[in-house]
Amino acid sequence: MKFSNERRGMQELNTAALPDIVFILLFFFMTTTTFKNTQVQVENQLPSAKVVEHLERTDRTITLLVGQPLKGQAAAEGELSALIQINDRLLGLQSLENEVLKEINTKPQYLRGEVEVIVKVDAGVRLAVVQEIKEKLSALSVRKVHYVALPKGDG
Amino acid sequence: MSFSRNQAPSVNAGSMADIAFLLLIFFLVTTTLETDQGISRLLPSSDTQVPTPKAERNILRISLNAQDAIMVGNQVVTLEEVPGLVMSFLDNGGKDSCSYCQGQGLNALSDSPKAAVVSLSSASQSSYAQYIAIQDALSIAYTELRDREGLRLYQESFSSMKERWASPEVTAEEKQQLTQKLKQLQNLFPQQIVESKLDPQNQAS
Repeated sequence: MKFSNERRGMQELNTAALPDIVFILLFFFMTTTTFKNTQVQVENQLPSAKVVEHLERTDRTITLLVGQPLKGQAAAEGELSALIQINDRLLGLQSLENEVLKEINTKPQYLRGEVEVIVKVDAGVRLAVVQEIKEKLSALSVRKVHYVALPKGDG
Repeated sequence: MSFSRNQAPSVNAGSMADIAFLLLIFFLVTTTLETDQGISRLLPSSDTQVPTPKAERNILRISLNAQDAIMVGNQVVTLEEVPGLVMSFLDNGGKDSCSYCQGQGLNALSDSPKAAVVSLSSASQSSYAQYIAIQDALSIAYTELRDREGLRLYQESFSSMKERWASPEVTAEEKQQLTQKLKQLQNLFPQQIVESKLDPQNQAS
């Protein structure tokens, strides 16, 4: 056949450059992938619990870190001596509502009604702070709270 | 010498691409971005509501004081005792309305799990770690009871169903079935937890 005659004389395809292409792809994704990695600015030693569950949806969450500030900023006096960190901002209890509202507004419209809050609270924090946060959140009608805890094995 | 050869021997690098692809796919598949594990709770809604009158027997009062001591009813207990006490309270089955309860039907404890409310009041000076420990104890109690009913009704415990529900392998149809079963079990033992601040005035007495 004419077809096969033509084929016979064809040169082998040089695939030596293919690994380079793949590696370039690999490096591209490696370098462009960024993990959301905010620096923790408060003490954050999480408590542990036996029955812990994963959050199902992560597109509608706001994370609050609560604890003593690690450096610099002195905490407020009295029993509410912990600061809250949202993303890279450190704030006191009094500005929590505003900041949470700001965070809610960064979410797409259809998710704003069902925002869930992940709270990572340092185990040593007094409960007064948590109670205050809970009150403020429920005043904003943010009702789903997820207390982050480390899983603890039996025994 | 072999160096002086005109043509250097070529290495067949065709399979290198395959190896690199394989690596890429392996890491793509095995990388999981861990979400935080923890305890989920629903806060009360902000609009003020008149508390519905409940029979005292349907309320289990748990208090946590500033020294991190725990009181259930009017007894001081250790943390380890809490799940057992909560379970016997929920599972009491005081009225015949609860056919699946296995409790002793005591007069002091709840009528049925659906009527039972756990009231957790905590002092502002108590530590967060202890608070989470109590919340965990409550979760343990509810999960254990739901596990029991799951095994009885569907031959699979609540927690393993939940795990299967969350796993990526589950098919849509299975997931729907599981959702229904999970809802059913949650309805048998609904988590009704009321939280309040412990009033310092009451604490003294």
